Amino acid sequence: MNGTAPLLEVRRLRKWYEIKGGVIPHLIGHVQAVTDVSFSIGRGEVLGLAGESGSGKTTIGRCVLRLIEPTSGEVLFEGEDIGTFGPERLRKFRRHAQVVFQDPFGSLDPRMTVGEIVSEPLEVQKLFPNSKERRDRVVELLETVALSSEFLKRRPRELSGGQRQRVGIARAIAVNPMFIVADEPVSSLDVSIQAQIVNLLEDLREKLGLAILFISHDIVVMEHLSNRIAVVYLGRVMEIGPTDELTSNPKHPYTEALLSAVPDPDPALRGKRIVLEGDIPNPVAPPSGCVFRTRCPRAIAECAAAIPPLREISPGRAAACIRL
Amino acid sequence: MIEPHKLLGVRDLSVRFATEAGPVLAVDRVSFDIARGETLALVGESGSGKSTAALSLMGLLGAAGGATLSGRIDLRLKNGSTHDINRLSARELRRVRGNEMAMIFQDPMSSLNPVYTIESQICEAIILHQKTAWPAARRRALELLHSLGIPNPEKCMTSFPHQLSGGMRQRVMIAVALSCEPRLLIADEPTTALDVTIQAQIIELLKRVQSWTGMAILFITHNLGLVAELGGRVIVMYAGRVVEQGKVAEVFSHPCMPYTQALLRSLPRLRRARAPRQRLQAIPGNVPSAVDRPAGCAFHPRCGFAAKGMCDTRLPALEDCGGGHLAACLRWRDIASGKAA
Ligand SMILES: Nc1ncnc2c1ncn2[C@@H]1O[C@H](COP(=O)(O)OP(=O)(O)OP(=O)(O)O)[C@@H](O)[C@H]1O
Ligand SMILES: Nc1ncnc2c1ncn2[C@@H]1O[C@H](COP(=O)(O)OP(=O)(O)OP(=O)(O)O)[C@@H](O)[C@H]1O
Ligand code: SF4
Ligand SMILES: [Mg+2]
Ligand SMILES: [Mg+2]
Repeated sequence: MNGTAPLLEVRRLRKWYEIKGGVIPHLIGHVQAVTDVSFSIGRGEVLGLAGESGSGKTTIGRCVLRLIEPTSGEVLFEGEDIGTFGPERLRKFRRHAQVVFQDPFGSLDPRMTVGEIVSEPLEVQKLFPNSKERRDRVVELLETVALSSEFLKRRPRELSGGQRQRVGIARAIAVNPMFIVADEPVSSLDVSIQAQIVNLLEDLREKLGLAILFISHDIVVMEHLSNRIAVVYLGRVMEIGPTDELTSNPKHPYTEALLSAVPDPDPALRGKRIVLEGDIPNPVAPPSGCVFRTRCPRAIAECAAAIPPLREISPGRAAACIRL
Repeated sequence: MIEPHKLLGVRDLSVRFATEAGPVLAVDRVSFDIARGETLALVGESGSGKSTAALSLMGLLGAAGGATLSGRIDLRLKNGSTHDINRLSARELRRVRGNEMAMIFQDPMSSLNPVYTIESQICEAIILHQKTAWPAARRRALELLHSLGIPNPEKCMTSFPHQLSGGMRQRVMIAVALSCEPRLLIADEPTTALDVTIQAQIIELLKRVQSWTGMAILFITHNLGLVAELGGRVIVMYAGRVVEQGKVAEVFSHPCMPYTQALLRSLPRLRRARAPRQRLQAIPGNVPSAVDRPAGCAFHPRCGFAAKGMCDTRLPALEDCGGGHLAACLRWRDIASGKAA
């Protein structure tokens, strides 16, 4: 552990899912879900991960917590490679690194009550051994996500979609982790409760130094919470940089298109919408060179030649495009 | 029971669940109609009863799930006859679902079967309802997936649900529902896991299907921008009741009920570094308990206009506040004229 290292560092992470086919199933290819992704997250920092559906965001989030094994690359937590962790070290790691799953339905055990679901991490980590104190903590957690003690004895199927999502959040923050991966944590909440949760996460970051990998397709919400944003396309980082710079002055053509598509209710502020032509390419056989070139309004012949590296364009800001 | 151009008429629908903490009144005397070919959006606070109302329309809530229903849900069938969904037998209900109406569930994973490929799930739905052979069903399935913006429909067809991203699963669900060519499509948060570009593509597809087939859509969402794009009418729910209802443009430009007003004010906007970082606006106060609802107007503990001795005792009924725009607020006149503080 050293004080200057970032909390989390991801180096050339790659996850290619094998595809089997044929009468006698054999390997016929790979879904190139994530390719050579690198980034770091500091203590108390929120990194937003933005990108279209299928661009590999969930896969990155799962690899970072070792919920799935990457094909190659490293994930360092406080300077230690989590790929080398044995079961005991992994349990300790999970005390500090939690997850809010994208699918609030599949991720809660249907047989457990809400009270049991939220107190489970407290028990596993042997926090609040006194059961009265533990119950108080669980109620307090439920209240911070706009639920109440009335929900303690309910089971997941007795909750609405947004209520399940909030139980997932309460469980993730129960043990005061240093880091959470929040995969679309507010996607099924109305704007008011969404605001309440985003403000809660902001408070946790400020008061407890919580770091977050915030995955969302909603750039508006992401912009409010994130210190930096990484934009991914077809499993690769296209651009990464401080939120304000990236949203006010996008450099990569894909970031530009992504931001122009955000519906602003105020027509005066609405810029010209850049409509991307063509379909999202097949992740089994992505285009050569720059993966975005088949839909890029600024593509030239050279874009097909080589994969553009992620180059620094200003301090703390990098983009992968040869035309910058 | 319902007017000729109406497809569906809901009257005084209430749904109660038995839970260990007491009975939950999830839907409280809700009434609304859907005309043929119409788009009706249903918005409201998380837990306000939107999915419960939708599941009752499909006849999917019953005593077995601990639910007690009352009221009427009249549906006009293709053959012109009308039936109360609450009084159909299980066999009749199965026939109505799929042939007359289809639903895209809020929960895509538990409504797709994990052990079958996407191909067999979509094709079977098509064959069941359209009596075509496998090759034709397969072509139709590929076409649907393509029009939903799935990058590689062939590969998607051979995948199992867990091999797809969240947004891809949602689109497969939409394909299954549309494949039956229903007259009423109930879509419960069908685009939550999708980014804006694909959302726009799906809205366009739904509108196209609607103009070919005259399908009516009940669209449940928390995304108010999407509601504006859909057009048509909107119903706002709060604590199990309809609190406002009318044409989307009218309700969004002149909301009459304080909850709707507060909801529209909470809408986050893209800052683009122009303005300093601000906290997002949430409606102050607590979401009301569904076991122990506040007396009078359920919004009164959080309402800036609430009047003592009035809002905390009298239950507001829906009133016409102009041109068929309905709102349930005891003080809407004072609020609209600026007399309420
Ligand atoms: N278990 C798996 N086996 C095979 N392919 C998979 C598997 N899980 C994901 N994929 C594929 O990897 C790609 C990236 O998926 P991922 O879930 O990471 O996307 P995402 O960015 O989270 O998308 P969304 O916004 O829709 O949730 C997709 O093409 C998906 O089909
Ligand atoms: N099977 C059930 N048993 C007990 N209570 C239930 C059940 N299903 C839903 N509820 C409760 O009924 C209320 C309405 O739930 P519903 O799912 O209809 O809400 P919703 O408006 O769809 O919310 P969301 O936007 O979060 O999906 C909630 O308070 C919920 O906890
Ligand atoms: S009835 Fe009273 S409490 Fe309810 S919304 Fe109107 S003013 Fe507010
Ligand atoms: Mg995902
Ligand atoms: Mg719901």
